[in-house]
Amino acid sequence: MLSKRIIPCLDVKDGRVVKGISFINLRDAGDPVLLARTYDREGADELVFLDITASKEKRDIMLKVVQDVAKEVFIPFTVGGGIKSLKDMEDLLMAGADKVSINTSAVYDPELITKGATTFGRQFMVVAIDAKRENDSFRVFTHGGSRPTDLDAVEWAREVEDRGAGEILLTSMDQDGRKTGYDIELTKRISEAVNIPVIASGGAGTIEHVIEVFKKTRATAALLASVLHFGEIRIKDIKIAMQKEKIPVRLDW
Amino acid sequence: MIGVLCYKGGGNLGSVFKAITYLGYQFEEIWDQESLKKADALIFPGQGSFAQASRSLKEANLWEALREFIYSGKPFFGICLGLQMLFDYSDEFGFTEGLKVISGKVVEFQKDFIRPHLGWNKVFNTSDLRFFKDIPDDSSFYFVHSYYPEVYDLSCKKGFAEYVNKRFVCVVEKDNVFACQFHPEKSGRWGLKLLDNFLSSI
Repeated sequence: MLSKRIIPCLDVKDGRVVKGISFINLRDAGDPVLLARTYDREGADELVFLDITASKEKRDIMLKVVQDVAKEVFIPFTVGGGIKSLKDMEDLLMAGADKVSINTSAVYDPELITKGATTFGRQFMVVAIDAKRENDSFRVFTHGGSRPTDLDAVEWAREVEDRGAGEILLTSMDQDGRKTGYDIELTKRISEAVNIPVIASGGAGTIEHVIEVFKKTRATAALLASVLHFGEIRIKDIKIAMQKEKIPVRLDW
Repeated sequence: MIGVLCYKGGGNLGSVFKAITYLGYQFEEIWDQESLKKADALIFPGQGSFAQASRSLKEANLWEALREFIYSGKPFFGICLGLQMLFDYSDEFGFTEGLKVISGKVVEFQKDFIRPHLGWNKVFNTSDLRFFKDIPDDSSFYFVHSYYPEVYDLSCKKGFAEYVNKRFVCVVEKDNVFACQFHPEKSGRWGLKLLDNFLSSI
């Protein structure tokens, strides 16, 4: 059986991981390569690096980070943040990224999804969707969740699938950072509307939250950030609990 | 010389280069017939579209040379598309001819399966397979694909994985040819071990 994936997300700014891992005695808690290796050893199934560098001038630093990680870490990793063109994607591919995640640029230029999928393969194209509840539906936001769009999240998810996305990284803006659990309703609706893998994101605070999202939705992966970085929960413990609940999981890393 | 077959649209070829380097071996990129002829062993990686890959290889005049290489008996290791291309044909985009080294065809997973089949899955029936030495049966490897082979060749050894309720062939071994559907270069320690077993045998 295909294992459900546990994916740590690392925020990178100017080549350094911000909110680094605090639970392991690392000499340099901001070093992306060191942290990638650490999560690989902890049993992460994949990694996501989110480049939150503000200035364009410093973007090339990310390419160096990607090169360094690719040299030493042999599990798949995705890079997201500020990707606007095929050239940006190609640079990341050449540096060693297995996938790119696009969000704002996909909304403003949906053709970019199709072009990326045709040029680099569907498996390379992850579309990130940030969604916020509005009455009985969910609205898509861009620019790191700061700007509302006219798009309905379910319709947008179907469109990105049609346009060639290989995967959807779905973040609930309502739940993000609250540690009260994934948005089950949102994750259920999106994962049932499409036939590509959906990564649930936003709101994980306990092991039970991860179990819940896998039991109640079609999500094939769960993304976690701060709860992992601060050592509140450990990947190994999530995975042991998943096995107990008969959720297919990779334990032989 | 260990060669890695390179072609346009091959996906993340760099991760294969990096894994080989990490394991302590030298390799050369193979972009044309001349360098392919000089190779003592070949790794054929790839990701993406079967049709696109076969077009790229034909444009680079590598198609026939590749068949010649395989029939010369030199060690060959195919990854993902490098496995699929060994068969007679693929259903992708109607009908695309393969290298016809192993009898069989490449077909798509059912429409109601989540596609691609993406992530870590257990590979079984591996104990007879040459390069699975010191890798336990049922170890996990990383997959990304929507097509899989139906193998008719009886002389070919096979390893399997299961997706939803579908058992499919994900490793083939026949004479000098070895190929896997998953990505050993992205499969952590077991993937590196598999590559190392191949590289150290050359």
